[in-house]
Amino acid sequence: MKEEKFIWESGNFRKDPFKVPEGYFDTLADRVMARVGESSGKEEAARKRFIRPLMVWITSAAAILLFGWFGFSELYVKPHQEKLLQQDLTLLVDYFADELHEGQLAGFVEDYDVEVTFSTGVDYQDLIESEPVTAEEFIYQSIGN
Amino acid sequence: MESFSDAELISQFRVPESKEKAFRMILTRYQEKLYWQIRRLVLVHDDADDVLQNTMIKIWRGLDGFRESSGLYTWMYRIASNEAITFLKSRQKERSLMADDPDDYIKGRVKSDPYYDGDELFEKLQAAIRNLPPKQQQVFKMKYFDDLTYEEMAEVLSTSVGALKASYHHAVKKIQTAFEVND
Repeated sequence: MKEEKFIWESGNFRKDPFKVPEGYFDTLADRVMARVGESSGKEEAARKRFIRPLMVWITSAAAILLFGWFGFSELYVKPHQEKLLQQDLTLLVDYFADELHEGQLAGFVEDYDVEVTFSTGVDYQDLIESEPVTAEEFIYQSIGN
Repeated sequence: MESFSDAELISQFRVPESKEKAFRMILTRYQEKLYWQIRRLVLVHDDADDVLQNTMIKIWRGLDGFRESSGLYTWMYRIASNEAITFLKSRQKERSLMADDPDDYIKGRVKSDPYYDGDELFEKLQAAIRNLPPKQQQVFKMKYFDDLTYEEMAEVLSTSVGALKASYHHAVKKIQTAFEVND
């Protein structure tokens, strides 16, 4: 195919007046690989510089939240729930006292420290201590086991 | 010496044990083509060296994700073009600050490059090319200096062959006119 001749391609026109240093291409790959190694190292270092403190923060925050929740649960929530349970039980036992027999009443007193305010004529502590098997049975019955 | 296809080299690149060796083979195969493509855009050897190394580092980082929908060289050519254009844009700012006439700045910088041996004719051609719209400059250089086919250019620039032919034709006419006017 005949190459197109342009108006500027006259005389001693040289299309390519550029030169390259001696041995430039022989060492180019080595120089590029050295830069690749450098930039990979820098990226890794930058990642570590960012990630390590971030992990410390995340771990600390998680520990604080966990401890905080646990502490809150143990120091406040559970005691509060137990107190409410005891209050409710006291009210219920008082309300159903006529329908409960002495063993059941003894069981509630023993397990939940319920204060029985009505007079039944029964010493629950004596009942629990003198007849431990019986009291235990009554307690299991009273808690539904 | 064993000769692998581009596809084989890409597969080897994706295996950690052969990654560097495969990359060096790709570099060796295409380094000169890429260098000259960049050099003709940026003109000065030191600048071309910087841009070429940046290009190769981008190729290293991106080759794992290369989808092979285009040829390997076309893909690398595109990266090299973008790097060169980014470089030229950054230099444009520098030129506007350092010289009243940006053209004088370029001429000065090119002429002071020890690896440049151009004459007045070549400088006149470069000046005429600089007066073209950026897209025509790119098309002209790719066709005239890099000897790419229209199909290859279409793949790199995501433009139709017809549009590229028209663009090149306009570029040639403008440069010829510039030469005729100045004679």
